[in-house]
Amino acid sequence: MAPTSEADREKVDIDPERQREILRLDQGLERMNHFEVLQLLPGASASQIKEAYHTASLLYHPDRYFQKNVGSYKEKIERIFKRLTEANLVLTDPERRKAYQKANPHLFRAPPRASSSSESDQPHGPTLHAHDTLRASERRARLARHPYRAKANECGELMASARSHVSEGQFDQALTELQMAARTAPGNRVLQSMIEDITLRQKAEHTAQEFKRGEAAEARGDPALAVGCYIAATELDRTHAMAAVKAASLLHRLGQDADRARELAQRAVQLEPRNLDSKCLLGMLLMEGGEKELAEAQFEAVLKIDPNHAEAKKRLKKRWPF
Amino acid sequence: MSEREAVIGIDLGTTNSVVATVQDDQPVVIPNRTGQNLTPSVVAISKNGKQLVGQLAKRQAITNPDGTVYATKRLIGRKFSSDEVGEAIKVLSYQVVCGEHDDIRVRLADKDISLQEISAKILAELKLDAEEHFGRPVDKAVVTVPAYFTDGQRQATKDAGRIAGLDVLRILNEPTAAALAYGLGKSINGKIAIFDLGGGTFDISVLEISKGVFQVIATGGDSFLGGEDFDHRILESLVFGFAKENGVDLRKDRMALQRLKDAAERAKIELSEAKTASINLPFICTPPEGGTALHLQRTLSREKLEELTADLCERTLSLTAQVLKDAKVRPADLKEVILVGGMTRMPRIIEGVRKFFGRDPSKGVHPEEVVALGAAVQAHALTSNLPSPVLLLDVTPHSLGLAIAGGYARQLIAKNTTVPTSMKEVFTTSKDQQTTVKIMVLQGESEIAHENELMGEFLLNGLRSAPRGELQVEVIFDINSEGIVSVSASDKETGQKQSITISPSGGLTEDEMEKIIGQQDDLVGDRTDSATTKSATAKRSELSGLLAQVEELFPNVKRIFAASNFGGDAVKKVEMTLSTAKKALKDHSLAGMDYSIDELSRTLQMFKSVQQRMGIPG
Repeated sequence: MAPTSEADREKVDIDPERQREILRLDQGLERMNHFEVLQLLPGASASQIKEAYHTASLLYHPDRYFQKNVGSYKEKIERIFKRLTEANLVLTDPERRKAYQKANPHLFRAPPRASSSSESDQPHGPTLHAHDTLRASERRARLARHPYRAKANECGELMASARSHVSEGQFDQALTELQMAARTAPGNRVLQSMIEDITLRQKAEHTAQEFKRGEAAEARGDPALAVGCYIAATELDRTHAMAAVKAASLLHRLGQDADRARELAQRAVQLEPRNLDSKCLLGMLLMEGGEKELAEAQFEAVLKIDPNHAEAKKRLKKRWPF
Repeated sequence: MSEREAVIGIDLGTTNSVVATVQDDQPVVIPNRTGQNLTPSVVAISKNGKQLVGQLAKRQAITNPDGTVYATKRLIGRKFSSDEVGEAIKVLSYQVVCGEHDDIRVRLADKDISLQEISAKILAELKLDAEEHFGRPVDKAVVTVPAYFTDGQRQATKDAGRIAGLDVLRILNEPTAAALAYGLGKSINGKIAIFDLGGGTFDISVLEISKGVFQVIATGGDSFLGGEDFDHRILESLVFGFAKENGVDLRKDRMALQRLKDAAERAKIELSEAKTASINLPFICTPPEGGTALHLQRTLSREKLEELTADLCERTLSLTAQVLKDAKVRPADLKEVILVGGMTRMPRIIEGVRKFFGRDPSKGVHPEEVVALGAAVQAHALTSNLPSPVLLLDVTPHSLGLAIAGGYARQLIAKNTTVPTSMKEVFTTSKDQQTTVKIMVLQGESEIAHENELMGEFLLNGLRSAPRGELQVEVIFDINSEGIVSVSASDKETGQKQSITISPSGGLTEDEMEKIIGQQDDLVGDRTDSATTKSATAKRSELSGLLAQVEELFPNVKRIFAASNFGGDAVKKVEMTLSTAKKALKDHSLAGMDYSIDELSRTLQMFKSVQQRMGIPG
């Protein structure tokens, strides 16, 4: 890549990846809109803007490079930060945002569905006369050599490579490629939706892996490791009820972190209200935590669904004599 | 660089200064060489020509009123001819004169000294304290100033640092520094307000904190509203009451003025805890037409103090309301309100803040030290090799713009804009056949050009002769990361360009600065001599010396007291002071000795003035 060689030429106290990023951003400042500068999708809300601005500031505020040897990067970093500040100022101030919206209405339209948007970067110029084919082909050849097209080609290659990695299940690799592509073609909605989609699939896969590791560990008789895996799975996917129940019951068995166990059991019950085992577990945990009334309510709820549930009957009976 | 460079943060206050550093990722105050965290911002040349800084200078202030300089922060970087300065110097006991470029000088031992040099002496003292602490040279520092300081005042503070041999990495706003220290290591997410009422200045700032990024949203205040003004109100009331009773204006007597000032400050501090404070100043003066000496004896209630200062408290709240409005924040949106500065101990202020924000303000860290701690955090963040956990997004406190047709001002960079920043705007010519435009760079909030401060001006010549409104001139305002403002104007048609870089002046020219820095080397010998390094033994001997002097004079003074109508109150108090001092000597208590040295010096000064008034040679 062209910027790499330029980055290598100057010896500065900035890591090479950041150097490339600085060069890329600085070169693109003129043509980027305020959302692109902050690496956000058009129409992002004020709070998203602020968050992105703060995150970007941690990378590009000149104070991060104070008294360091940054050579020609000093000006670039300052330029980038000023541009970030401007974008933040315009997009978080209601009046300025309105004015910017008026001037750039296309940036504020609801993003179209990914399938309907075109991947091609073909400019919408006036149509060429059909008979003038010679000039048209010449024009196409010139366009292909133009850096703008070159970028589109690079972007296309990266996307193709990413697709093949996805089909092989190599999500990490695919994501890296797509993020690189997104930098050369910011604002490309297909790319953005692909990134979102793959991020979700990657997460789902990680969750499944963690859960499987947990089950394996439990089968091996290593409950401590199993708890860790189940909790990791619940953290990756907060709607994973099974992992939550397993984590809660293991924590209970190990006598660890009762608050956490209760919280996980609660979540499992909320996710699957008809799962009697998790309700029972929650009841037990609440009972041990001294919340007798809440616990009884859980057991009663179990009995309402299944009047012959042995565990719940036993637990409730234990308390009846009083 | 195996060992981390020692860097410090300095809160150069109106009444007290503090130096701090970051050790093991924790900001800590560096105590001065007498063991105190606070160093009074006082510089003096004693009668025998010795230079004194800090506690030693403050201690002898009453007996050496015209040789003791304090509260210079109120004057630094200002113009001698300004109204504020004219008002302020009326109540100073030292002599202030006009410098060559309408700057302010202090006349000390027949020499005119710039305020930058005075501040430099305090900074140098703190630098020495830090060097003693680290055991190696320290030359990099972040120094704080009130958020509302102008560029001139900031530059003057920077110059003071340079004279003191410090590389001032950054001039940081005090409320921002306080927020850094307060928010460090806490998981505050959201907006907070800092209410900073110090010795001489009032600042209010709103910041937004998220994930270690501290973004200043708005800041404002008054660089002439602080504890000194509260003291002055008490002083005025005492002077007025005394004049009514005795027909004598105490302000004409520098020594009396200094004693009044001292008593007013003590009474104010006492009233933060107690409901009433008594002020006893025996033998404050002799009537001009002769006769027995006069005493000042008054009791001041908390209510009276609140009545005297009601408008000052009110003003802090109206400025607060203004800043919240600028920040587009309602009091209820704030996660916390933090009190900073010694004056925020006053119950009336705490109550006012509580009512205004509808919540209890936090005091968390020591309100006098938190600013220096924050300065240390920023110094550390700037020089750290590892990515620092905090990042400060600071703002410009004043708007920048230019003069436009009709005598109006047009803002390009609004106040509270995050810096560094750059803004551009295209202007058109306002007259037919106009070939020149004059760019006048203004700082301030007024819409009327001349009500703002003119920072610099330049011409863009050679425009094509055309009807008005036809030619376009693009003007770019830029504030870089060092805070330096530059302005450029270019003719859109020809690309012709003119620009100016504005270098703020703190009142001293570069030549004068060089000369002063050159002279500093000569002073080094003198400096170490006056340095306040004191071991316990030195303290013991100072205390015993004082004790002997007081005991020697006591019988004589007792006689004078007995002959006058002044109560036995003072005698009892002296007896108590003497017994505490003896106890401190016996117990080897360092803090006790410090306290007693203070008390005995006061007593001794009182004795001397009593004898002087009665015509008995001391």
